[in-house]
Amino acid sequence: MVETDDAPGTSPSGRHIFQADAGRTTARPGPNPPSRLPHIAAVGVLGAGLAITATLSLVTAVIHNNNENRLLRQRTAEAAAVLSAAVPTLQTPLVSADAVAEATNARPGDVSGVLASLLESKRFVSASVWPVHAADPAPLHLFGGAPELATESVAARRDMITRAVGRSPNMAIVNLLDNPDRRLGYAYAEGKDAKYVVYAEAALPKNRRARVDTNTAFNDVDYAIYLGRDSSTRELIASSNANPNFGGRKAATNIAFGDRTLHLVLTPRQELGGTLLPRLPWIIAILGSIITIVAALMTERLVRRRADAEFLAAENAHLFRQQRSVAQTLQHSLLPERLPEVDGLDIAVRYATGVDGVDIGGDWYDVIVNDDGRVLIVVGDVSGRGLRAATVMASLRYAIHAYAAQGDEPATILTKLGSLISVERDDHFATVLCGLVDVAGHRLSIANAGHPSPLLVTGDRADFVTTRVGPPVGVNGASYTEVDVSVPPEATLIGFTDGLYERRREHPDTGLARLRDASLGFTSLNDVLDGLLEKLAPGGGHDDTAILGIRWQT
Amino acid sequence: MADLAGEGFALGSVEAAAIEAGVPVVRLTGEIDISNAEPIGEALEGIVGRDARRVVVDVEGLEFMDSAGIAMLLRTAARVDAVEIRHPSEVMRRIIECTGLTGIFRMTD
Repeated sequence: MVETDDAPGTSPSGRHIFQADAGRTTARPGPNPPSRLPHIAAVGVLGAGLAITATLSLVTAVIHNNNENRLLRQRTAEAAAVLSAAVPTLQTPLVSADAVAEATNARPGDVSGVLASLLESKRFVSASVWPVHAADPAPLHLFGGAPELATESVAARRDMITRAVGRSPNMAIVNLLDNPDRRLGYAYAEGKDAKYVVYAEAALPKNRRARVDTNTAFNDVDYAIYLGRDSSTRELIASSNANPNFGGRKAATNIAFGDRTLHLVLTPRQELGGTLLPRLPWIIAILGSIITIVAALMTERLVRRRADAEFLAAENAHLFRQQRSVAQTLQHSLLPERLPEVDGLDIAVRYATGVDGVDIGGDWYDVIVNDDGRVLIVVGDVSGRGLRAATVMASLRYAIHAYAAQGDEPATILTKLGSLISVERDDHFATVLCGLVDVAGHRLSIANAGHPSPLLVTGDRADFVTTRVGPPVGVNGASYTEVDVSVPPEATLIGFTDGLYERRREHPDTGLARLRDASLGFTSLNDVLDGLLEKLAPGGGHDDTAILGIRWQT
Repeated sequence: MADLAGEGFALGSVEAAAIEAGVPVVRLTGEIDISNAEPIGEALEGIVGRDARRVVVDVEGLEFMDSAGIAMLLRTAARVDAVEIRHPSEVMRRIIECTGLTGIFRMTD
């Protein structure tokens, strides 16, 4: 009976058989092409960058706004201080004039002098002295033009007198803004016991524009001054702008003004904090957007490059697996497709691919049955790896077939092989074990060219066959000698290559002892070979391994 | 001195150690396997030269050598009359014995 065991998937560990590995490779698809990830990353960066830019821009705008408000409030306070300082310059001449009027009992000569001096200041267009106690109040003495107040009702005139006396020491402010000749009146009396009131009127520009804007300290703001506590248009005294209804940013404050109040409103004509700060939000927005777009483009590029690199790596891994599977397929095609059937002998083989590299190995096994019934078994190993090693292996394997057909003995075959390859020329040598099996006679004639000796397992004993080891094939001038071995009944002979037991830096005898121990305890030939691979090279050894086993059935 | 090191490569070297009475002594160190046997072999040939009849290879510092390394030494052996392997480790000695090369490489301590 003959057992050949090189069909796919029959090995218990699967990966030891070529087809199993090759099948796994073809079942695995290639890597996916680069994804849309670069776009997503770029859009993410773009979004984040624009959000940061917008936030920064907004914060800067808020800071600028707060700063402008603060500066405007500051200018308003300054303007209020200037206005407040101006009030006494109106009141003081009135106080002086009234004192003269009271002291001289409004003697015309004295009073005329002080009233004339009031007009000299050009603040007033009309100055007069009024008696406090009069049913129909009218000026006693008058300088300049007639007061507008004189044309008003008795009640209005009485009100001026009453307030001037009652609000003393403040002057009373008389609102004549609605009159055709727009005026403000100022009335002063010395107190409750006063007999005279000094009254002066100031003319206001009809267009309500401030007459002069000479105060350069305030040339960066527009202002409006109202009589009262709010910005009622009717009460507008003066404004630096034709349209006093300021929109946008403005600040207001009230200032004591005789017995009334002045309402001051300011609005900036330009940015108070300089030109940089208001532009900063825009500068940040534009620069931030440009930087963000550049960053997004660079991100896209970097992510794409990385994706490309990963794709290439996956592609390479895929090619590696493919090449490995090609190597394994080629290897398998160079080994015997079917082993011959030999009466009285079980035959089984294994080939395990090493985990290192993608190169094809040079290990082989062979069983040749000649026409005359002689059975030749061969296990060999060409040094190195790659197509060249495999080619050497194939040429040696077919040459052995030819020599065997000529009836050559094992030692002769090995010697003749030496003419085919030369380590000096080919860079490869081969270790070969060649044995002639006498099945019925339970004998074995074996020659060895630098190869590990085979293991003979009988029952619970396993021993390496003592061979005469000659140099490997490919070394000049090598010659070989056969040894004859007597084989016990139902014995198993195992030939193998060094991948089965060799470990880096380990003494070969240690590996061989491990191999010998691992060969015991099995009943069938297939179990022995599977067990050896399982125990010695779990998951695949580093080097390729070929095993040939024959078992005498009797 | 020839070195070849890198990912997936063994780190080994060959260097000329001495000339003893006209015989070049080369020293192999580190690991020599299929990944670096070729450049080390070329360096070895360069050191030995064309005219040497004998070569001494000191392998005291050699930690590992596979069949590609043995092929390298066999190439040298084919070009000269005698190769002496000096200071082989027990492992090295046994590998040379197992491979049937005791007649090619004379091992000395």
